[in-house]
Amino acid sequence: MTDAATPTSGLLARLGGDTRAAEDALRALGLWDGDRPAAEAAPVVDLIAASPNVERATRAIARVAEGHGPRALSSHELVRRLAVVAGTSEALADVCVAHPAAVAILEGDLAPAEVDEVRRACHTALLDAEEPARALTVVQRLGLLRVAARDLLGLASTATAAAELADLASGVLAAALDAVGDPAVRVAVIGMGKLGGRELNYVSDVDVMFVHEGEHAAAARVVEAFLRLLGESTPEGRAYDVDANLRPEGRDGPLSRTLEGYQAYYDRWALTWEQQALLKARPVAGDEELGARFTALAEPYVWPDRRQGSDVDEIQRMKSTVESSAAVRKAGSRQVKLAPGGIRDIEFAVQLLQLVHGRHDPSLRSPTTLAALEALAEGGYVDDGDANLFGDAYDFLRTVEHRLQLRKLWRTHVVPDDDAERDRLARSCGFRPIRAATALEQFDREYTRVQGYVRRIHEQLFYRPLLDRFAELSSADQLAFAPDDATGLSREQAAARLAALGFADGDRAMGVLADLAEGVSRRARLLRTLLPALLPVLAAAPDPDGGLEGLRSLADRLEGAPAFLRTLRDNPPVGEVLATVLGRSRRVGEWLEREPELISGLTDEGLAEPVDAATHARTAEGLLRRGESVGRTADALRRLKRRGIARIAVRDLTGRASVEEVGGELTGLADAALDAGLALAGRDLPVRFAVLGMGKLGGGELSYASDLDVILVFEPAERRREALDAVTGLVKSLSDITAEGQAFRVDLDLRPEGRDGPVARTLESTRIYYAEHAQPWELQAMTQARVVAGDQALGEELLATVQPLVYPSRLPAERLTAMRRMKARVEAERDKGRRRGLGVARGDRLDLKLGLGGLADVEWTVQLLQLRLGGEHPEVRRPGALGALGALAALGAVDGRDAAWLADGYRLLARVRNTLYLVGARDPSLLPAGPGELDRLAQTLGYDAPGGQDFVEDLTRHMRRVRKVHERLFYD
Amino acid sequence: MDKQQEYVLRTVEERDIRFVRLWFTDVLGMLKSVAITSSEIEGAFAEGIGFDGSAVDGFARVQESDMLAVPDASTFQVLPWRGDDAPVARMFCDIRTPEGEAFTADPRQVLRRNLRKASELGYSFYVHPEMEFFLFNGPDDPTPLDHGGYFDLTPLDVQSDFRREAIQTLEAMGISVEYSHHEVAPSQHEIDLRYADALTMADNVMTYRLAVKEVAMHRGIYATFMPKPMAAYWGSGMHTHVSLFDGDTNAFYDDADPYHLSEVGKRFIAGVLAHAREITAVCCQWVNSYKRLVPGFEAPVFVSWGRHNRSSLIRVPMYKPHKSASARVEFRAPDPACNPYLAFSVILAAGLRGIEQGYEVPPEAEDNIYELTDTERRAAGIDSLPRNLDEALRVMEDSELVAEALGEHVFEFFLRNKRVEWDAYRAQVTPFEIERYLPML
Repeated sequence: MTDAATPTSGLLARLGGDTRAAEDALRALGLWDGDRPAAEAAPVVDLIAASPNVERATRAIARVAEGHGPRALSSHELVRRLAVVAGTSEALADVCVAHPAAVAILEGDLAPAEVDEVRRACHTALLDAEEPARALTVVQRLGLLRVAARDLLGLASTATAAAELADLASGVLAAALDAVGDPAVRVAVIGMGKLGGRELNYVSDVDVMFVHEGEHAAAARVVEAFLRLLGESTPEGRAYDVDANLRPEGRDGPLSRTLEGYQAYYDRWALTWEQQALLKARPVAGDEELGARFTALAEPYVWPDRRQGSDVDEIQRMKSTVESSAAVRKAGSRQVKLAPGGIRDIEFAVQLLQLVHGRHDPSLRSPTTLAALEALAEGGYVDDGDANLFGDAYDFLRTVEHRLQLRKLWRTHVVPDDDAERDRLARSCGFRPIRAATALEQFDREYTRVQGYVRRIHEQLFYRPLLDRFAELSSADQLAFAPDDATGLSREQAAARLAALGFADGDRAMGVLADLAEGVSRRARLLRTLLPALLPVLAAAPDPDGGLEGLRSLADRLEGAPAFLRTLRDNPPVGEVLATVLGRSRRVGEWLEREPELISGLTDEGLAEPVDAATHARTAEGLLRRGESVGRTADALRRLKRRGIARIAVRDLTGRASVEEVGGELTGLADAALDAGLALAGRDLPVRFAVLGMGKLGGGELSYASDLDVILVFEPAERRREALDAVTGLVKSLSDITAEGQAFRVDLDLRPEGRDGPVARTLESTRIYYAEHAQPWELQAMTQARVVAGDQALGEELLATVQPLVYPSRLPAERLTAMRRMKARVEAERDKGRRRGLGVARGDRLDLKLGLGGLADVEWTVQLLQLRLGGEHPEVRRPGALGALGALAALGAVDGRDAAWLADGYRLLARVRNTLYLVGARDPSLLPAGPGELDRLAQTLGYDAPGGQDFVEDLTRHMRRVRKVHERLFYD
Repeated sequence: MDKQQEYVLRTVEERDIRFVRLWFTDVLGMLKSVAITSSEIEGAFAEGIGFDGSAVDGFARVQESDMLAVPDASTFQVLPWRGDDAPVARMFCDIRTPEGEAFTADPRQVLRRNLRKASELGYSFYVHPEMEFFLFNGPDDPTPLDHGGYFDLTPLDVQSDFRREAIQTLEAMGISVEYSHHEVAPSQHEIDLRYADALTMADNVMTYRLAVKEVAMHRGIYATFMPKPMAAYWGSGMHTHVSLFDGDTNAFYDDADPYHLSEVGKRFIAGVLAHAREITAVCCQWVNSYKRLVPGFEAPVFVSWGRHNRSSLIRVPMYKPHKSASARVEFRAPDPACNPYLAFSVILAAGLRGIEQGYEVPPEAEDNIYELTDTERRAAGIDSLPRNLDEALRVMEDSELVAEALGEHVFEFFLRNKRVEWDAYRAQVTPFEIERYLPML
């Protein structure tokens, strides 16, 4: 007994955990012998155990055998088929239990059913049916079973199964129309969407439109009866969910129209997407001749002779709508259809290419996704390799979708989260456990891989053939063939595609691309492999056309530096950063042209951190230690500055640095340059210098465009002549424009006596000046003073001498008044020459610095409060608007809301100014006037396009608030 | 092209309409019109009609001087006063930028934006204004045509004929009239429009003002919406009844409450009261508006609410049994010379603020507040509405609520424009001064 127990329980266990059901199944099959499986049960158990879900298969077999008698499952092959189908689909197992005819289908030759066979089967079923809707539904379910069996048993590929599902629908629809027809009127059913494309799912809406000839009322009656018959809910479910809402005017429009009616509508009213939906239109039932005439009628609307610019816009909008739709964002990667890298991505890509190129090339007009993809590859519109990958991916994802839906015949597109369920899905998709991995692991890996490469090559798909064209052209040129005989895209087609992808001037972009990628040079070949990754990033940037020009300029400039292209090839993220930057700022592109060694550092790790001031200082000192001539060292400083600022700008434009960080880093760079410049100019002199940074330099809030405001002191007095020469040398070494450009513009105008005074003074002379002669505004300027270079002790001594003068214990009223009057005068002067009063004149642009609510309002407010309170509260004596504002708020001198308004306003204004400088604005303090420029700026700042108005609203709100606080805290 | 647009084109063809007027409203509430021929309509639907925005008060900004007027087909109406011979129709327009973005300073867009905020809370905003106006001999002659009073029947006179024709005209344009009567003051009339969603109602108010003026002109008289044309008589108000609906349910109604007013309704009232001073400049936007807001003529002067009190700023009208849909709040500050899009916007914004932040409604003012002394009023926490345009602007300037509701562009323009108006007024020497001071000083 113990000997026999093992094989028995072993057999039963192989039929799943439910031994009771296993016993029932074997018993029903006549394979049960007393209290154990019969000896001949083993091969049958093997068959069942191969099912994707053994337990379900076992139960289904038991139920079928019970229902239809043990002889119903006479052959092993039948058991195998039932086990496979039932193991995948509970719903179809139910169909097998309920209908002997289902078992007969599984037993038969499983040949595909043609449309007419289905139609005849429906006719027969309808002949004496009391409930016609139910009869049709049964035929439909049996048809599903046939397709599913062929699909699951490997008799039909996924694509074939999808086509057979469409044919099943056509047959049922045709029979339904036969049943409700009226001889007074001819009606044709036009399949749209996946039905039209002959790529239907097991469970999906069936999209249709109706066209008729004859009496309108009769047609309406027929169509309504048709929809009722198919949509009626019966104990078996309903035949199809027929959706007629793609028709003109959607729900509001008449269900059916005459050919003339459609023509009139498409001529006058149709939206672009409505016309594009006709791409998938195909007569599927009813009057064939009428259907064919509809197809002929539709063609010119899908493929107009000329596509207008607005159509291209609409295609693009379609694309971005899909990409940003809530469904996509919400649905995780488990959404087979909508997730990035999902079915929709593939369908969209194929359709876009069809619409762009199908006008000139009728071979591309197939309504079926895979057929269209094949045609695109054949015509050279898509790279062969890409097309293969896309086709495979589509096939895999559709298979997953089919298997998902088969289980319960529910309309679902979501891969289950639960591991056990996903394991069953994996098995039903054909994955089998192997020693190295379970079915689930293999499925998950494959699924992720497929989504990954669809996502990755999705956009390159559009670009690769543009570039292949150049390769072919150049070889054709060499062989002296006429270039347009080459397969693939004509120049016009290529330009149209570029325009559809976001380049404003497709023709021009094509020209630039030709410069980059045409020919057999090493550079061109490398670029042809690199561009497919760069172009999508450029196309999504605020200024795709400018970015592409920038890329060309960079490539030209670096012609002799092959390392540049190699870097891009070996390190793809670098290309992405570079394209992001180029699509935003030509200016930074030019900097990078001159500092190509920076490019290899444009990676996540390379850009993660700001460079601190100490590092800048060390690098600058290093230049000095080279011991080269003054001129060469000064040029080295210029290069240092350019490299530093370029890196800062890249971090800024790619959203890696806040405006404070940008200001801080620029300041660190300037400090280092001043220190090195001073050391260079004062080399070997027995003189001590200190440099006080003023203005934004002192405050540590430099912008890209800032001058360096400084005041210098020296000791001892006896060395005056040499000292003044050295200062002039310092200014020259940084400010002179040489072949290497300019390091910084050093500005000494804030010094005592301004331009009339000596360029530097001794400590004592400076003290005397501030004590006896300084104007109120000069004392105000001292609030920003900071020792930035030279002899730190000397600088601190100077500051300590001047501070009590700047911050008396009580600010005299005349200083306060002088300051207010000066500010008011600045405003009045700015307004001079402008049209006053109502209505804003053309050319009146928002001034971010001096305008009402501009940066100056924040700075003056903060400085006035510092001066009033600094005497008693040393903690507010600090350079820098934001820092001082924080100290004032901590002291309670500015309330929380006012401080937040000032700080937020300052940050936004400073960021906008910085960005304006980077995008090459002539005056970064003035908001650009043109709507195009404004939108690009808004996009660069991170507003959604078109965002010009949102940005201006935001900016003016901040400025209004700054102004309000300023008027209250400064003038009151 | 949608069905509405198709209908417009068909009607234009059938009725042989040669010209269609495209209407929009400037920031100050003045109706602007561009006429296009019937052949241009289709293009206007598709792409809009270009115009120079800098020519319109409150629209100009450099980057926006080229603008598009895109007609809203659902507002298509034949203008009844143009007769049937060569009929003329009108449509209201939305203003777009050349990029196709809705233009932020278009008053219709301002209202849409605020309605969107309401709909984010699940509410639709309904409005029913009682618009008053005077009939005079002409724009230069404010002599009353009668000495009638409230509910006076002055049969067979030019005025009742006028009212009948005005009502017929409005009805012919699809604007339902609820009610009409002679008002308290001589020559003053009121025609109430049936409640509608706020955007439709703002369009209706614009149409109403034009229709009333047109009908008067046909009869050789002059209709004016000036808030206070005669110092000795009542002024013209636009008492604005408002309610929020959540689907079919009136969100202001509560069976269990003694006022039949829901918590939402009370918070809405609290919001409007709390921000009443800030929104006054928009609801009462002219120097003359403040001549209406004085004691003695049942116009609101103080910030208060009540059920029976006719001098309250907000009145909760008597509840009619079994008419939960009619539960509503009457805000009595606006006058008929306001910009209805902006006025509805700020009223809604104030009310929503009350709902969102759960404002507490102050106690109902039971007494006649005019009879209270200043100190009594202060003790009761009852504030005054701004006494003149200057004060109203000062309060508005400090209102983040109004800035947000109107958008920065409209907010800034409105203040600037009104400041100029006030300054011009300030420089006037009035008949009051001449009469009083010249003999004496």
